Amino acid sequence: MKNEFLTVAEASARIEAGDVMTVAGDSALLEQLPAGKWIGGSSVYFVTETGGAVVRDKVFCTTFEDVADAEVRALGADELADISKGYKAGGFTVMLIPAFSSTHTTFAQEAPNMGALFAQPLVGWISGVHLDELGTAKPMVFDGGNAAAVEDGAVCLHIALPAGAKVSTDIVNIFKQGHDTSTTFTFQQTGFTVQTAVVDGKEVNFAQYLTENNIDTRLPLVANYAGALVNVSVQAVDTENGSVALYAPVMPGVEYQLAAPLTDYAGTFAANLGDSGVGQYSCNCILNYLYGELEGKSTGTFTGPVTFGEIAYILLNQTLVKLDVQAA
Amino acid sequence: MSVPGPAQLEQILLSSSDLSSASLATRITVGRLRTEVSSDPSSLSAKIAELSEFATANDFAAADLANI
Repeated sequence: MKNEFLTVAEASARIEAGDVMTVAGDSALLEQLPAGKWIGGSSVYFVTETGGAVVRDKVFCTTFEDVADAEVRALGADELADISKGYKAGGFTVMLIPAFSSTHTTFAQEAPNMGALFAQPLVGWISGVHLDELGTAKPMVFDGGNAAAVEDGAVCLHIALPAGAKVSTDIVNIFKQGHDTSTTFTFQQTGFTVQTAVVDGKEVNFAQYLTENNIDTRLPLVANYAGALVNVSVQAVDTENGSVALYAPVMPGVEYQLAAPLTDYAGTFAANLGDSGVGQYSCNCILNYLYGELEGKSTGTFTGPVTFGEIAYILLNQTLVKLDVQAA
Repeated sequence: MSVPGPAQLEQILLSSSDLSSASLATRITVGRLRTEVSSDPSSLSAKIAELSEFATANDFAAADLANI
């Protein structure tokens, strides 16, 4: 697997030569790429070898080398249950979805219950835009098979590996439960917007609770899925309307705790990532980029797009997703 | 890879232990099933069956659960 920034001309030549790739970049660049075995998503923020950076003149390409087979598929929000039908034996799938689309919402709410999704590694991310262009530019994904932009849908790159090759995926979450281990949060309904939470068994208005308790909303709510720590990040607190917007839906019945604060965001990332990132596929969250002030700061050897949500089977927030392929 | 029996799967679902050595897929699946059992204890048998089905369909999950 090879990660690199390429010009549009260089990426086009690789695609025309038959390379199998995921591509991240400014939509204006992705629109210029020819049809081939690739999928793409809009992102202008990246983690590079020298630190976080905004890049708008090149695209970030991950080339999957030595694959046995690859297929590009585009799915609508109502077809997400069929993602695993494209899985190739012994392989993996990369999937991209535009932020704020109905597909984003549907995937976030339904993926945990799609048992077949978990049969092999499913990774990917939610495409975004430059933060100065929120509301004016649209996050997009690209179906490279048809060189077509998709505003609402999922694009999948299903990959088969040669016999004997191995693939694994995991997440790096620098947050731990434990800001206040005695305080737990549960929610009675799923959704990206919540009004009420049950805090230590008592129902409260969640916006009011966060405000009155001076909660640092840069810290996510953290759920523990049998050792996998899954974040839900706060987008906005609207005390006037008594609602809290989230970057991923809370799930009913799941017990959340507020994350423990970090003193050195970038340093914690670097310490958790180690030196194993070269040759791995990865993506990291825009909130880590912003709150960790990662622009210009190196966080180790993992490079990739900075995204509006991460996918490792389910939708994640404030998390780095990584995928590694070991040749036979 | 043989799938653990119902008694062992029940123990896994009723426990709150971290399955740190298990694959991410298994951890998320077990985490979700534990939540569902906690919210509705009468669903335990159905969730044991669902976990057994997951392990039967996926060798990596059977290995994960057998090694707990």
